[in-house]
Amino acid sequence: MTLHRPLPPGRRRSLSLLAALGVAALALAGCATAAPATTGGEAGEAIYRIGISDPGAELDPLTVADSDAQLITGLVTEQLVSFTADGEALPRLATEWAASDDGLSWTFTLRDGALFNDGTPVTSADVVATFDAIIGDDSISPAKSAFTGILDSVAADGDTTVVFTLVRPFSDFPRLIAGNNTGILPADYEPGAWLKNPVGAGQFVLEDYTVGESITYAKNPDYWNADQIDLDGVELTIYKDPQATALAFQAGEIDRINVSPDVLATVNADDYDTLSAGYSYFYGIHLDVTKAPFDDVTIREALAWAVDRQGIVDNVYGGTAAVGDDYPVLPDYLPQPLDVPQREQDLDKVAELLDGREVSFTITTSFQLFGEVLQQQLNAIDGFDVTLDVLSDEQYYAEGADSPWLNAPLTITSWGKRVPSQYYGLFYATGAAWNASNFTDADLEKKVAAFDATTDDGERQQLITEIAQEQWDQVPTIIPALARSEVLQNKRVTGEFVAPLDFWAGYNFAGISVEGE
Amino acid sequence: MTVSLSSSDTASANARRGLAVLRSRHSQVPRLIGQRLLQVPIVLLVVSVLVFWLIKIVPGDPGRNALGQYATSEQVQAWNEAHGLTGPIIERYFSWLVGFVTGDWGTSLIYAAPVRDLVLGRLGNSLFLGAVAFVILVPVAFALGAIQARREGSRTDRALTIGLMSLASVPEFVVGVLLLIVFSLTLRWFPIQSSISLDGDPGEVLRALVLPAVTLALGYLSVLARMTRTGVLDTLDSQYYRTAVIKGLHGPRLLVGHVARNAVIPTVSLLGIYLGSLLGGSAIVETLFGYPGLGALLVTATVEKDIFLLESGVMVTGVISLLALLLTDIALLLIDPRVRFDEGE
Repeated sequence: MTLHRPLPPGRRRSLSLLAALGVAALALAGCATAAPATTGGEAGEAIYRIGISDPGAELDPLTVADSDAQLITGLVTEQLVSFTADGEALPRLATEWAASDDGLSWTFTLRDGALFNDGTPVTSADVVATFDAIIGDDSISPAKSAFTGILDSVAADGDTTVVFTLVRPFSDFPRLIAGNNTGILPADYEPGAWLKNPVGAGQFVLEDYTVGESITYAKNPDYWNADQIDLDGVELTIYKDPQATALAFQAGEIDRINVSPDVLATVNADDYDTLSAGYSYFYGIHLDVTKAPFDDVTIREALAWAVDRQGIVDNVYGGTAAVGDDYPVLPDYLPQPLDVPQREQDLDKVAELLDGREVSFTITTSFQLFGEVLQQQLNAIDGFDVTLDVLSDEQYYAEGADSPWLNAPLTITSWGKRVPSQYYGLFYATGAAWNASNFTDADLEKKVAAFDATTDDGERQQLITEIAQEQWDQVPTIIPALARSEVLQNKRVTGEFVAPLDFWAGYNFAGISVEGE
Repeated sequence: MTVSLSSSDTASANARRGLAVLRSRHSQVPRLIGQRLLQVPIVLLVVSVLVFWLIKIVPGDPGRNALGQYATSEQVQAWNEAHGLTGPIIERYFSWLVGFVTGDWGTSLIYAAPVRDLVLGRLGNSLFLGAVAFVILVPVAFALGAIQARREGSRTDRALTIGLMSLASVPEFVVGVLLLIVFSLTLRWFPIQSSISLDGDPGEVLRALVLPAVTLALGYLSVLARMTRTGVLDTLDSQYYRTAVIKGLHGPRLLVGHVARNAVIPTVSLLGIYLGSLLGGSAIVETLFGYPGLGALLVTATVEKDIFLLESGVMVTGVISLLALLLTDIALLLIDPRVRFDEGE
């Protein structure tokens, strides 16, 4: 159909011009010279670089709730106490602490010479103001729930001593003090104003925050333990896509990445150091003991014996978990329950407990993989007919009295790192806000209260064993696995972290160094 | 007589109609702008109501997002109250609307920063990225389309068709990841994270821009090249081209005046739509490359139910898209050869 071919010379020239223009544009796009991947800080500086997600809310040490936001503020602030990966307490802004004989008050002595990054000394008034802000009537700090029913008041005793008065004895109180949102802030700190003046008495000072992109820190020269901080700074880069985070780690733009099945599929783990970041969470299978079929303890037991726990460790957690035994005591917590029989999948026991009954129920969760693995395991066993209802996080944890995670007969819910008695207070105790099992047991509550009250190691060992055994017998919750976080780290980093980078560890960088660029 | 009068009347009526048509074409541009000035606010108003209502009815709670699992319902409620998220939805909507119109766009719930600064700052970045992508896209697409038309049916034409169709069938996300693996991870030419600061080192800015801009451009390349090819072929088939050649025209006059201008008309409307999408920010590309544009910002705002950020961001992208459409329509009017011919006469 075309009339003219070959084209007249002029047209050919003009088309060639157009083509050349296109090629030139591409060449312009690609003209950047080869250069190494960007690295944080000035040349020669030792900067530890971490990839994070966008923090989920405004940055205020008193209210930050997600791990990225906690890291952002936690590098600048410091708690009174932190813990090693082995559960050993480390003095930070407090040098020593002790409970009164009746266990109703704890006295903390503050470190001499500790300074906020504005040069003012850290005093007992600051500690009192910080904890008053957390536990006050109008507090919106998520840490408040950790202290509710435990901490009554905080008072200064001179400039360097603080006394915490408790509602009831609580032997794990230093762990609460090391918890979330407990970085000490100046007494005149105005909640919500942190980003305008990022104050704290921690290892680093916040130098620059570009919303949605990156946050850079420099070493705090006035930090009490500055001699042990070898890094010149830390750089957090915000990635919005997990694939990009994995590529950035491979390209050497960041020094660590959390281990996940996706990461292991793309990154050669042998090229890096693997650090265990300690046990930090688990998913509990909550059975509503007031609703059929779980109002029958034999059904609950049958279910507990039906679960293939190692299968869940392998297929849900990618191997980064320990087999659980239905009580919420993380494996790196001391003391551990002793002599509670370890449940393993036992189909004979299941058949015996079901006694020919057919059990039908629905798994409700927002964690699709866990729901699917559990459903497949159970439906493969005679006597179970299980359906699955996967909701988005927003639907599953919806606000209101009819929220699925607190009302469906069987739910699978995530729980972050806590001390055991906090879990009991959160989801087993009578009237507990998140008692999805609707479980009550006066005897168990007495034992938990006694465990909290005693600081005697032998008694604590005995009590936690009894508590765990009772949980095992009653099965309001099946906890098939307890998960630990693992990270891959670039080999240019030397030194060992005393603990993973979380609030229990106080984001402790003592002794860590990197080769400067 | 009657007939002849009638015929001369008809002739003058035709002449008048011809002039009227010309006048009406002349007046189309301002009239079009006038119409859009009325339509755009109505469209934006409807969109803003929809966004406000949808974000209200989908599950999730900004207070719970902010304070996390361990906050009590009372604390979540207090947080929402402090951030102006409680009370009747109509009241809140009008309060937002009045603020938006008067320049007070509120404070972002997640970034605790003024929404206006965030949105306009990110818009600038998106415009920059979109403009770079556009500058890459248009000449390359025109060149490829022209080459294909010139060699219609040849092996080059067929190879380019297959290549471009293959490219069109690969999602932006995959193209982006592949480019990252080749050019960032393996060759280390460009950074993985395309953070930019427009007042920073131009070399670094260019390095950060290349991969996202090329990914964006590649996404539109195939269709645009295809349309250019068709436009050129149609023109070469036309009577006026043949007449021009017979009249002895050649060289740039033939190509620019007769081929290029006519061939480009069908692609202009498409370009307008692309321009709107490119400038409004591409969420996928910005998210993958960590480019600080409006698209990525709006993804975060939606996930976190940051209503003020989302509303203002949607309004701004809406204005950009509608403006791009208006520009397209005006461009079509202006390059319409009939109008030019009338003017010339």
